[in-house]
Amino acid sequence: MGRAAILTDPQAAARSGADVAMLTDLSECIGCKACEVACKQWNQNQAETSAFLGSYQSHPGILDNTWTVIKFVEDINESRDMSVESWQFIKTNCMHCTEAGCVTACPVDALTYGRMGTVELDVDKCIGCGYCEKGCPFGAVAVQAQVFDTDKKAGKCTLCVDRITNGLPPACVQTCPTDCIKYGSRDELIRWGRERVAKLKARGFANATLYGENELGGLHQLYVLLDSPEKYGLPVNPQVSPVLKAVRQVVYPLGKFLLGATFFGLLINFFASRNLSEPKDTDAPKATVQS
Amino acid sequence: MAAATRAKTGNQVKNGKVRRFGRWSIVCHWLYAACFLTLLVTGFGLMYDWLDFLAGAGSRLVHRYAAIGLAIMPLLYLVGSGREALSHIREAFRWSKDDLRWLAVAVPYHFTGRPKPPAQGFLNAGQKLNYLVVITTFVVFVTTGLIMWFLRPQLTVADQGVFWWAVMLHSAAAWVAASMFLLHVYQAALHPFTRASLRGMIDGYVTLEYALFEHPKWAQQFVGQSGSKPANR
Repeated sequence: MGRAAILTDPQAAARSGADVAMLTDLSECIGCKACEVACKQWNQNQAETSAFLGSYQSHPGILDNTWTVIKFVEDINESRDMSVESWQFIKTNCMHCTEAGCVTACPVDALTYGRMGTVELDVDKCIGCGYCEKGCPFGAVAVQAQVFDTDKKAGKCTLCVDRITNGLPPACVQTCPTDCIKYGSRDELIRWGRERVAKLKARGFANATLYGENELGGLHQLYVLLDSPEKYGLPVNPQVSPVLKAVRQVVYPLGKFLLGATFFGLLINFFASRNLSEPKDTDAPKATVQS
Repeated sequence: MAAATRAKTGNQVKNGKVRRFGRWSIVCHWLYAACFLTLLVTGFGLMYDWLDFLAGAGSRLVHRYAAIGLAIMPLLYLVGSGREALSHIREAFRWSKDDLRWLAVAVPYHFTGRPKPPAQGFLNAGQKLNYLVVITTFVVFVTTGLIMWFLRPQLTVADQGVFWWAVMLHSAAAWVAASMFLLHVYQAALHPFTRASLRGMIDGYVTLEYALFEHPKWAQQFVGQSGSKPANR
């Protein structure tokens, strides 16, 4: 293999079909954004015109055609001299959750648990409703706002499922000049990540941690973080919105029951009431009428 | 005999038939029904797997256009029907003990004809309930729909709960309204006691015998009025 980025032979991974993942070692990321470019190129995504943010960050965030963005996190010491305490980069993209909010939210099953541990988006099925965007605890899938147009669809990182199922590493992994984005079997990456965290701790990064091992049933995008997740803008204990779960698990079944019960109740009534007579003169309850 | 007489209440009597709804109210009713049905069908495409052929970017667009129609319809109704609309809405919110008793026996009564429910006014308790469901779900549909349509881009990851509360109320309102809609259509078109009422929403008139049967407290005023003699059926 010969590359520090590839932990499992991609050909063997494609053949076995077992869960793979990416692991981004943020202690080695230099924020060069080559991954962003490779992602755009491989996936043939249009460039997005966006405002200059005054920082090294290229885009404000993930968009329907911008699937990976390196966010620049500056930790400024406001109490002393406004000096930058730390300056971190985090490559954000779809986390390919085991329990995915977007899959729960999607009303047309365009988002599904796909091959090799990925969360797959079928763009042909997508209707652009934006439920996935509001179901994702990471803000990793987006649909452009729309008032009346019908051509906007969701877009997100595919984990290069078209490459990995054919024995190639993801495009961003392929291009990363520091090999900080790793690709391999998920188990292998977790083993590697734990060792890496131990080394970083020994080197004085007391808060170094491996992110994604257990979050949302296990993410297929793992991180070696130099500091706590909040410092990178990552949720400490990400959850699929309980309101979203209630919509799917309580309101939908109750609603269907209510409508179904009404329908069958009326059907039974239709046959039961067939012999009842329509109001005739004599039927009018005249006795109750006030004169 | 054929000449219509206008009662103080604005009601009319003609050929043994009494006026129930004004022309504009009828137009608004059917336009609201058309918008509602369109919204129901395009919305249920997202909720029922067997209706997923109705879900699509195009049907989402239809949903949004029909939503505009639904949203402005009550305004047209209130402006166009004025006093009639207000008096109906006021009556829908006025509940007596007789209304509760009517509801309590409504199910066995509509299955077997017994026990006889208390006499009702212009709206029976079921129709009052229909009005209240329509008004409540209208408010829910419009407010939560606006949140889902226009506020989505502004809601951050931390505010996702707002979006899902909107979806929850929107879909719950859809099922409540759909169930009431089925009941409403059934009563108006099929049930032997009340199917005579459908004419009231077509040409605006119902027979006096039906009015006396279903709404005696209201219809009593027409007995003996010029032109009110029940026609032979």
